[in-house]
Amino acid sequence: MRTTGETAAVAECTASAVAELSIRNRLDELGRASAWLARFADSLALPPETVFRLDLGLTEALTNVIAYAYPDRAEHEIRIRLEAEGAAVLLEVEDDGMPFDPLRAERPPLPGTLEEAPIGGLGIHLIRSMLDECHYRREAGKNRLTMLAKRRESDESRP
Amino acid sequence: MQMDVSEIDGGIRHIRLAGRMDVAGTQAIDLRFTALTATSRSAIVVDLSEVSFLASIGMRTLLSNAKALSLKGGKMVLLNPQPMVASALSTAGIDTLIPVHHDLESACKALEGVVAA
Repeated sequence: MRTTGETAAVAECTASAVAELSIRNRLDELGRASAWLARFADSLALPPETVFRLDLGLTEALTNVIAYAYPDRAEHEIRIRLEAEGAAVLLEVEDDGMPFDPLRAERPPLPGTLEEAPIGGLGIHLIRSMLDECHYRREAGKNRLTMLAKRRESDESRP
Repeated sequence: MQMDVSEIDGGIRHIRLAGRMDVAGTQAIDLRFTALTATSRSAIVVDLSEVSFLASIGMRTLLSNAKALSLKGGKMVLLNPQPMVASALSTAGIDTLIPVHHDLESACKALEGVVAA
């Protein structure tokens, strides 16, 4: 279901929680997004490993959108949504930039030596590898990237 | 993000990073980090034990400086990443390019013979 809330709000039910945040397409907004994620995670006592993976997915997805989605260089709004349900947390990033499916981007080969290593192209690879599931949809002029982090047994057992 | 530098035995430079190596954190240390690693033929230990988060922008800074250093005959090793930082480094394949050590002694040993006489 689409929601239109523009402020961060955590609404807790018995076993689920939802939060939404809107940011502008500027790199200096990333800190605010990560801090918002941390507050959501704190309120649900999510394991640090799950939070790390969500933070990485959020940071890399936003960095890509902000760097590449807007050739018009105008100000845009990016909407982020978090939903925790049971043992999984869903993270959704929605932008109105150029159509781009990051999950179809070519996976950069892992270089064999330092000298031949390309600098860059790592963000999308990290999203696909560190999150448990990723989905992309282009809908009504918007890109929507959905990432899922499952809470793992090993995450729970850490202090 | 914080950065402290000291010289240890054998002319090895020990750079301790602390905090979140995200976009803002990396931008905050990037110039100084590059200046410290740009010395020709240096042996550098980058201590990651106090780094709680590492994004691709931070990996790029580590990688580009390790690469520049290597081309000049120097060498960089990473020390003591926290488990999730280590996991991200290995997912990106960085740990095969910049050796990761879990104690200072083995890190220094890996840098033996690198420092210019």
